[in-house]
Order: sequence, then structure tokens, then C-alpha cells
Amino acid sequence: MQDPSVMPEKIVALLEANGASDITVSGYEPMTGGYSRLMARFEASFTIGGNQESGSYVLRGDPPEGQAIIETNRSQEFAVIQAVSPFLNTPAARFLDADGAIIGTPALIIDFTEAESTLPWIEKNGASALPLKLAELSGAMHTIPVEKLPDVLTKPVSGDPLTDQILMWKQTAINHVEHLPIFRYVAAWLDANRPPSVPVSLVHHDFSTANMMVDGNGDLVVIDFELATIGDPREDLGYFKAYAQAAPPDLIDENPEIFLNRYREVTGFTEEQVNPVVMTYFLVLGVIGVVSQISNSGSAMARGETSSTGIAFNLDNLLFGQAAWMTATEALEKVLDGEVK
Amino acid sequence: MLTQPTTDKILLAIADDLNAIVLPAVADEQAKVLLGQIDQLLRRLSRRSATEIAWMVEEIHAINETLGRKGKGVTNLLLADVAEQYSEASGALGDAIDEAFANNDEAMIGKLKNLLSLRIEKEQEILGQLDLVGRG
Repeated sequence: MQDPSVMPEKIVALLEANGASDITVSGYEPMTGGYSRLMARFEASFTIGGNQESGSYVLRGDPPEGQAIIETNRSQEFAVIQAVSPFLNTPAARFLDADGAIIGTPALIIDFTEAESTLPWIEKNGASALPLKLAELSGAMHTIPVEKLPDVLTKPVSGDPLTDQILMWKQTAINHVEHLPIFRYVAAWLDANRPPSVPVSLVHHDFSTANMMVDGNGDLVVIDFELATIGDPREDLGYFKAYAQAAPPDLIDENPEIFLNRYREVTGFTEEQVNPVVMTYFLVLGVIGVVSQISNSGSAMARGETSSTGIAFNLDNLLFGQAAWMTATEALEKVLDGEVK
Repeated sequence: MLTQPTTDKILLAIADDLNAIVLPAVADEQAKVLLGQIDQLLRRLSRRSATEIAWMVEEIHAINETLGRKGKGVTNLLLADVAEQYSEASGALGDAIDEAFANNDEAMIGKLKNLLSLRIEKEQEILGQLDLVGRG
């Protein structure tokens, strides 16, 4: 996917296989920013279903075997984007090479969005407008009817997303290549301090400014649904806050009242179900999806099954997470004990 | 065996050269991201290599003392063996955490949490400043 001399021909073949004709592909250029997958931008024009189209597109595919930081499925990602794009500000998924027979690796093509990465946009424009936009985006994502989502999405095995997530904490601690007592402490603490439940919904699982852009209208665009599942929507809010601790700013903390009021309005959740304490609880709980993937890759590297700098780098970053989770549990305990409000 | 400069100093020198000499000569964006990750890893490994065996041994002793475990001391100082014993002690600590929460034993939870806090203090010394190189 990194070779611009061969990729246009492969893209033409993929479009042809999907019923397109009169195809031209140009300007193929690898992109940075695809953290877990390889990405490239290209221009194309073609006719499909009797309609002439032209524009910019993004090819998003798996890295070579053994080099993936996390293992996810392009067919599932394609199905999720197709299901959610009518409800969300996200680029549409257009074409899929499920097994990589044409592109050389499992890959999908999505529309290119003329939008700017969130952090550079904030540097230029400030963040004051974004808490409301974030509430609307996350609210929209968390109110997509579950029956409209692909069946392939993982659902809570126990029937309760909190139970599943806590179990994943415990299993990650057990399956890791060495014992992880901080993970076991966090799991036990989360189990002992559960908040009131809410209905399940789509959970993005990597909901952060790294997977958002700001379009020409100043609206947030969300991308990258490779880790999506069905679960407790507050996992995304917690993950967003956890990520913002490592890569500020925290757009929720920018104006928590505006964010929470609008988010409750869109979702219909009560103040008891979504408040700063509950978000901090999910700050810890919600990161386990990504953390368990990092743990799996790190364990595989320790066993000599794979090797890459990215895997070692991400595993090492869990040290930052361990400190953040313990700090969060301590802060929450003080609130729950009534020591602070 | 030549022990000087020590491993931590050599790793730091490699990181400095990569940063000062190699990075400015690289135009490819993905290679720059990779160099950024390598730079951070080398600096962390430098701090870790200087102290990791001593830290693990110290923590194994602290865990054994808190849990009242006898005959589980460190038998040699080979890195792989110490790491294995460290993991074994960490597993015992994890079991004790589960038991303390199951029994709602707040005093024990507090003691075990102190052990975890000591671990985190050391981890933060290794980590230094976090920069999520490669993420938008």
C-alpha cells in the first residue's frame, strides 16, 4: 500500500470489481495519522450505478502481517461506517476489499473529508465552541438505534456491559505475559463501585481528538470505527477524558456543564446516570478495550511471535495509564466517601 | 567486560544522536514518527536499565513482607530470573487484592494499595514526559 507506482492500478481493479466503469485514479499519496492502519489519499473519477462521480478518497488497509499494533477487521469496520454514516458526521464507506485479494491487504475506501485535525484547529480557533459540538456528536452516536447497527458487532456476553468490561480487566491481567496487580486492583475497585445503568448503544472505543476533525462549519467529524462494539455509551466519555489526560485539551473539562446538559438532553440520560463522578468511573473502565489489545500485542512480542517499535512503545505507555487509573480511583473514593464534592 | 560508560549512558547517547543528527536528515513522515517513538523508548530504557533489577528486588521484598510470604526471596540476579520472580510476587499481590476486596477488608486494601503506589512512583520515574508520537 506504500508504493504509489502500483496502487492506482489496484484501486481501479477494486472499483471495477464493485461495478464501476470509466475509472481514472491519480495523485496516490500515503498519509500519516493512520495510527493502527496504513492510509493513503488519492483522486478518482468513475461511473457507478449510472452516476458519474469524482473526488478525493482514502484507502485504509491492514499493515503487513505481524506489524499491526492492534488486530481488527476491515469488513466489520466497513459495515459499521455504512450503518452509522446516515446518523453521524463521518466520511462514508464506499468500497471494500475484504480479504485483500485485489489491494494486497484487507482494505476499504472511504470518502475524503475536507476537515482539519482537531488539535491544530483548536490552536487557531480556541476550544470554547467544542464542548457543545462534542456533546452533540457523542449524543448522536449514542442514540443510533441498536437495531440499525450490524449484527457482527460484539454485544455484552453477560447481558450487562459493565460486567463484561470488568471481566475484560480481569482477563487482561490474567492473559498478559506477566502478572499485572494494578489491573486486578482496578477491576476489583470498579466492581465494588458500579454506577446506575443506562441502555446499551454503539461504543466507538477510541473516541478521542485523535479520531476527530473539524469541518468547514466548525462541526466535529468522527472517524475510525475499527474498535466499535455495543456497550455502555459512557465508556466513550471516559475514554475521551483518559485520552485527553495524555493529549490535552479535555474538551469536556473545557465546559463540563454545557457538555453534560447537552449530552443529557440528546440522550435522555439523567443526572444520576451521567455526571462528573460517573465520567471519571468510565475514564478508568472505558480504556480496557484498547488496553487489552495493546497488552495482547505486547505479550506476543515478549513471546517472540511478533516484533515492532510501535508495539513496545504502546506497551510502555501503559505505565502512564496505570498511574492515571489509580489516581482516578483515589479521587472517586474521596467523592464517594463525602470528603470532597 | 567494559562496564563504563554504563548501559544507561550509551542508550542516552544513541537517543541524542538519533535526535540531533538522524532526525533532521529524514524527510519521510512515517520514518519521523518511528524515530520519535524510538527516541522516547531509548530514554525510558536508559532510566530503566540503570535501576530495574534493584527496583524489582526491592519490590519483591516489600510484597513478601506485606503478605507474610516466607522463602520467596530472590535467588540470583539474572534479569530474566528476577523478572520471573517479580511476576510471581505480582501474582500473589493480585490474589491478595481480590481477596481483600471480596472480604471488604479496608485495612488490607489500604496496605496493598500502598505497594501499588510505590510501583507507580518508580514507573513514573522510568516514563518521564509522555508524548503520544504519531497520534493526531
